[in-house]
Amino acid sequence: MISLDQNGDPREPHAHIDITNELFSSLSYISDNKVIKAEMFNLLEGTRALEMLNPNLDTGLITLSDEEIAFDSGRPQSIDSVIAVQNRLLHLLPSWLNNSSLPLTVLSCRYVQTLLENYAFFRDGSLSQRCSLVDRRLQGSQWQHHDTVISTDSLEYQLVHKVLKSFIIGLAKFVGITLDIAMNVLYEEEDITTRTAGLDFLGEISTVAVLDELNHTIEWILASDIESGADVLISQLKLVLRLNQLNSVFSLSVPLFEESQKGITPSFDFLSDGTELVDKLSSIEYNQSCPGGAFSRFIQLDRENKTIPVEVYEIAPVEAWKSIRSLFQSVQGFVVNSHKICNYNQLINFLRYDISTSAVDMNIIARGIFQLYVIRDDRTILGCPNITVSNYSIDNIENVVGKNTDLLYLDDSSLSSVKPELKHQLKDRLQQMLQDLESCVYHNVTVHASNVCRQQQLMSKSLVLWDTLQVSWESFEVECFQLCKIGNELPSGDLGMAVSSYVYFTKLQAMIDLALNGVNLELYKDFEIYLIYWYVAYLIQLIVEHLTGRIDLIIEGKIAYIEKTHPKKIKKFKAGPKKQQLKELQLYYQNKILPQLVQTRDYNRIFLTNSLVAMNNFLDAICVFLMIISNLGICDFRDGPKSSLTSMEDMFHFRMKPWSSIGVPSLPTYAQYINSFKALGLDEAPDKFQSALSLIKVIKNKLHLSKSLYQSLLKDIVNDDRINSQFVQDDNSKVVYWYESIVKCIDSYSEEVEKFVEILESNKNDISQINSHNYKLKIIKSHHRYFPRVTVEKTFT
Amino acid sequence: MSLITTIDGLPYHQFNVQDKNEFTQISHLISQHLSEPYSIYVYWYFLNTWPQYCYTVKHPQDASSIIGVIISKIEPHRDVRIRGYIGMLVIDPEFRGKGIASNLVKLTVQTMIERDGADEIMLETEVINEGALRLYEGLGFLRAKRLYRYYLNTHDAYRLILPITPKSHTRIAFLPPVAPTGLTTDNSI
Ligand SMILES: CC(C)(COP(=O)(O)OP(=O)(O)OC[C@H]1O[C@@H](n2cnc3c(N)ncnc32)[C@H](O)[C@@H]1OP(=O)(O)O)[C@@H](O)C(=O)NCCC(=O)NCCS
Repeated sequence: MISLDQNGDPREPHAHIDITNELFSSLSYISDNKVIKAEMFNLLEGTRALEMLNPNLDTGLITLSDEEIAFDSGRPQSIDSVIAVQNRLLHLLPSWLNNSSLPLTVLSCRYVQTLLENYAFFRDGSLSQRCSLVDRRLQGSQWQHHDTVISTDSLEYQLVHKVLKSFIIGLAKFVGITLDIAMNVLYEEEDITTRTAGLDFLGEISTVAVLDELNHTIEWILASDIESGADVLISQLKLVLRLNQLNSVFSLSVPLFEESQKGITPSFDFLSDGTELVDKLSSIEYNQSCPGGAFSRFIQLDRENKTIPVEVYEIAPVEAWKSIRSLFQSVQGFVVNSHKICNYNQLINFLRYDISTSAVDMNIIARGIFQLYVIRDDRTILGCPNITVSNYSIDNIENVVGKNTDLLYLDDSSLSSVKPELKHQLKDRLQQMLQDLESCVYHNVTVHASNVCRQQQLMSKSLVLWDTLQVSWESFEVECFQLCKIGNELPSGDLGMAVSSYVYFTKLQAMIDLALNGVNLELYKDFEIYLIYWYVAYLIQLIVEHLTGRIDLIIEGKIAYIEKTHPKKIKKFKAGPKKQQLKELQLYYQNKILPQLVQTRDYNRIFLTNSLVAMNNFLDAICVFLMIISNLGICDFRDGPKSSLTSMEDMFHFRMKPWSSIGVPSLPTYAQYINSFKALGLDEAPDKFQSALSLIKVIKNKLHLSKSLYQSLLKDIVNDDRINSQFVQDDNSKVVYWYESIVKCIDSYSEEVEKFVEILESNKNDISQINSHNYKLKIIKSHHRYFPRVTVEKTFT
Repeated sequence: MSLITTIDGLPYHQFNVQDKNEFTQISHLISQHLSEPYSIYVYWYFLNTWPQYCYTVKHPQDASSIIGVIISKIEPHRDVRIRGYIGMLVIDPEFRGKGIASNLVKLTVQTMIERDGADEIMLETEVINEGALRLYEGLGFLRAKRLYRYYLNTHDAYRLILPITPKSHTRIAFLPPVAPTGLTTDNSI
């Protein structure tokens, strides 16, 4: 039995004490099968409990070979062996991030363990002294005693104590950096597992010192007379060096929206160099194996270990290289693109299309780096000194409802006619309201780079946040208007409610995203997918009404103010400084604000509205298609599964739970859902075949309309400056890809509809043959994450 | 050993806490067919606290051998609803596809509703476990959440819920606390 005492040495037989008898005698009084446990020890703890003598759960039963136990990390090694060890470590690093843990991957390497143990033990001294590869526990039995041929001056000695050591210092530091990122923005045990077996990954050593160490060693190799293999060693060291440079992106200050800075992208050579190094190292054939015992389960029984025994985990080399490569590529992608951002809408679209959609495939560390890169410790966005989360929130509002939102710029002059007491109250309240809004905007930003499953949970929370926000902003805006006449007016003179309108818009968008993201996560069964599309179609109808109604009027109202109301106001003044001041303001409005208002209005009209209308046509087509399938009896969306232990009504409400607490718009009732099937009249139609055929025409029209709207949007994205200017210019534009994929989905729906027409035709004489016995509905992943392919197939019974 | 019912000639029993052999057989059957390795503690935790929610199916010819088992618990969830939780369900491969699992789930659900007034019943299963998904979804369980890399073997999982009362579809913040019940509380799952 191995001692669990960390200070004891598992290789020392004296460290073991047999307590079997004591243990059993202390348990002898338990007779009634009761579980004895500490209050704090709950099921979760229990699922991780180590069970003695169970080979699946008792780390004490891990068997190691003599070679593994007696492995000597200080022993000089050949160049090929060192290359092999470093190569394997480069595979174990991404293996860790593939849902494994450090003890099963990087820390399964005895070199890494020894170095980190020495680092912890030697509190003083230089980096090199602290990070020795000499195993202190092997003093007295070192290789020197047996191997007198190899001296400390030998190349083999230097390869371990200089080259491999530097490599591991670099690798360990990078693990440390990754752990820091994980603590801040990633989810433990989902994105990453941070267990470290109680070892510190060079937290006290600066990145600069590590880079120096790596550079020195590279220079040493260059100066040495190593012939074959030197360039592989150097590439491996350089790759680790590049990894350590990744966190330098946190100090990049992106000059957002500054025209003069565009095109001047700082050098990110280290990122492309990282990719090139991966390409180079992955193309080499490594034929030498690692020294025996260098990688094992040793650490699992040697050090603090709260988990069950598991084999060393290593993904295939191809996967490993792909993972490191994608890390450099992803970081390079968002760093370069973020430097192209020219306006707020681009920033918002960048987060929505570029990041949110690619978070799924993004390397986990890249995802973490991204979060910290976008919102910095000082709450600036992308490190741009004059853009903080606060003004980002304000611009988010005006990006939808246009510039010149009175309430957002309350100052002494706009409040000049308000009593001082009320003025203070208003200002304080506004401050608080803006803070609440800011935290909601912040929350939404964090959604983008989370893992897909978390995105769903964060979005669900988002609904509650934005709903609450809407209620409070509505009453605030009404009060401000009633008490002090502050607030933008619609052209009709009514209160516009600009901020609440933005909040409502954002909330509706979140409600839609949540529903459709569930499709991507495959949360819905056949009968639910109809419900979800039906509900989303309703929400889109509302958001389109809101966008083309109130929001459009708010912007028109702001335009009318600049073009008519304000000039009239100026006319009323006599010549003098006040009039002059207003004239200057008018000039500013006309030159600066008006074009922005027009831009926002046009973007809303041409792009946002049309993309929503296009989607709604598509959704309508799908819903009618599904309704026909359901009405003909292939599967009935009104009943749920045949042997269901609960009612369809309960299922309906359960599925709609995330939206159920929203005040406006209220949830459709179950009766409305059930009645939606009657709308087509197919149930009662005397000639179901003809009826179905005419509905198919409706579907085809809708698909056609949707497709042509999407196609014209795609053209606008490229050709229309008003739209084009709202997206970051990139050859691999994600927004183009997004809409092109939807068009492909429309095409596959058209194919499915044609196939279904054939089914109808072939059962023309007895339409009742189209039933759940003869046909089944299948839903399969397709080109776009929101639109899986729905297909009707013949069953083979 | 109490016989509850016989379906298609197979006897369905409630677990007997006193029978050590039964315990051993159950843990053996489960450890053979579920991917997660559970400690003896986990079995004891369920079987001792909620023996009334562990049902076994015995071999038609050999009453000492267990061919199917379901293990569950029931507790207040966040103090607002009564949540049943199906922890483990395994059928001996030789006896699969005969509706045994279905019967065990039905038995569990029924008892949870009748005896303890369950508002909902929950469980987790791997996204790739088609058999389990088909089984539960056929009985009305819905996918409430997808859990990222939930299992040791890197797979995502679905959290499935069978909604039973209106409480199951009301957001927690809008529910009053449940009256104290005789049920134990463990909010760890
Ligand atoms: C999953 C498991 C419990 C099913 O047991 P079973 O007794 O064969 O299931 P049933 O016969 O009651 O089948 C119920 C339904 O599920 C379907 N089903 C069961 N196993 C299936 C499989 N492997 N593939 C497809 N469908 C399957 C059946 O067709 C049936 O559907 P139907 O009512 O539409 O005909 C069993 O396969 C098993 O023990 N698996 C290993 C352990 C496991 O995965 N447990 C669940 C973890 S939570």
